[in-house]
Amino acid sequence: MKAFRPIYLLIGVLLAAGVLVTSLRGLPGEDLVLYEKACTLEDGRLGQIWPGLSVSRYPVAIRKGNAEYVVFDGEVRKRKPVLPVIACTVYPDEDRIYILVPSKSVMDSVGQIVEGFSGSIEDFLIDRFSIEGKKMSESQYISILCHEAMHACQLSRWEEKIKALAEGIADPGIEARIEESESDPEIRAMYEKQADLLYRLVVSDEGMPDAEAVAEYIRTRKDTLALVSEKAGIDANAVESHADLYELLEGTARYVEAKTALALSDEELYGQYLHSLKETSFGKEKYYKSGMGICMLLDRLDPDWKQDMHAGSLSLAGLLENTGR
Amino acid sequence: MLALIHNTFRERIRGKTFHVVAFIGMAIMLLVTTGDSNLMINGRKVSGFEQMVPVALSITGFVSGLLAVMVSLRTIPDEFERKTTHLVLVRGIKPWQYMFSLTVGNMLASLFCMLSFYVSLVVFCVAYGRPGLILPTFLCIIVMSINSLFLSAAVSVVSIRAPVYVAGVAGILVYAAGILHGVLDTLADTAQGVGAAAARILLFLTPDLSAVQQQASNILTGAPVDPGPVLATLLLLYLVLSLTFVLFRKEV
Repeated sequence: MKAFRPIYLLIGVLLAAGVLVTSLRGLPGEDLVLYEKACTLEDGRLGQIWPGLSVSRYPVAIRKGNAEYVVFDGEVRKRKPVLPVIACTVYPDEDRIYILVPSKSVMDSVGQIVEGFSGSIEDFLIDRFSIEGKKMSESQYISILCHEAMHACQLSRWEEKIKALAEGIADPGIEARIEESESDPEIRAMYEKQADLLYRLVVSDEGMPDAEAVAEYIRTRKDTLALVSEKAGIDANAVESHADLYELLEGTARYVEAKTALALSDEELYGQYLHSLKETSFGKEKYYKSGMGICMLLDRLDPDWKQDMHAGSLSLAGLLENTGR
Repeated sequence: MLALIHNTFRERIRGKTFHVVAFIGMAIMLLVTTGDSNLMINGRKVSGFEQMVPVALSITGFVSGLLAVMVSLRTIPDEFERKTTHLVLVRGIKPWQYMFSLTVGNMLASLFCMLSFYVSLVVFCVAYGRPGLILPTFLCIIVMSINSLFLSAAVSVVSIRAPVYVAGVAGILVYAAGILHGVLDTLADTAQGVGAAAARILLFLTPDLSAVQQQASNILTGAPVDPGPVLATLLLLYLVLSLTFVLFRKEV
């Protein structure tokens, strides 16, 4: 009995020391491994996906809990989060462009929150109680990191182009009005037709996309935007600038995401990106998909289209229209 | 103290509720490991013994968690109601020794119950000619048992002062919060203000049962095991167990 207290106390001290040591490890090794895997794509694969695309050129802030671990130049620095959000984004700070991504474990949880809320609650609970929870794959995480690297690349290279498109929108409430108009059955039908045409063009086995089918897609896109402009009572140029801006920013980034999956030899994930084009989306998500689809078409129509994109002032759809003729 | 722990353990194992629930759990295990089920995970049909093992272990973890709460609910309140407490204390046993022993007895009964589920899995591992799975599944069960031990200790400690139903609800809430810990953590990180601070404190005091389950799964799949969540849960278990040194009822 006399030995009970010291032994009990010793167990407590050992456990506390163990917890302390494991909690001082900082950024989980898993996140660093994924970051390094993303950097290995700079052996030429990222350059092929998009000229000038790089992960290691920018400091990557990985958020875990109430801390942010900035990985840059071979060092990991811990600091308080700069942005009070858990999001994948890029932001300028101290004359640098930072990439912000949550840690893998946080992304897994966020995925479960999103899937749990948008999917069935039964699936969400079954997944939580099982010993092997549904998680984001490593390829998905690296692809998302490259998506954000693309945004960093856009911020440093396309400032003027983005500014010009943003000026065309003028009215800040335009986005909400466009989204409201999406409940109109006629507009929904047009978006569905547009998504179907693009999906069939992207997955077609023909080496060069059919010029007539490309022209039909461009016509349908223009008609859809005109209909949105008419029904929502917004200037047609503003509606077009809005679509062009998001297709340029998010569409190219989603394209990079999909191509990264392919560079990682994850054909299943790449197939999911292709398959996503089949489903009609609304809100901003539709531009992510249409932009990605247009990029995939441009790959087949003109291998040098990315250089033209950097040099010129055309939007993705404008470039497709010119190249597809 | 050892005699008290032994008595508590024996009494819990004799309990009718325990046997009924354990029988149902084992029946589920048998169905899962032998039946040609229509279970789908991530859109793929799960069939074959090896694929069913993680499913069987998940069910074991879930049923054992609930059993740990049920087994530990009434032990301490029953002692006070039957006035056994008085008889024990007049023999020179200190209140903390008594409460500690009852709690450890509950924990051992919960562990026994988990291992009894595991025995049926071992039988099927042998029957299907997969003896190689016995060691990894055993290690997996040992790690998963930390969750059951914590739940048992937490419910026992709450039942020292609170009514049975409060202890039961507390046990279920701790289990749910522990399993959803990662998700709740992320939600708390996105929140701000007093509510967020309170949520963070509560989550700090609740073990991440889901992370412990994940380490158990990593043992099974051969993935690297992170000792962090296991040690953190053991430390919280230790702290909860230490509360038995200071908690007691006024009426004996």
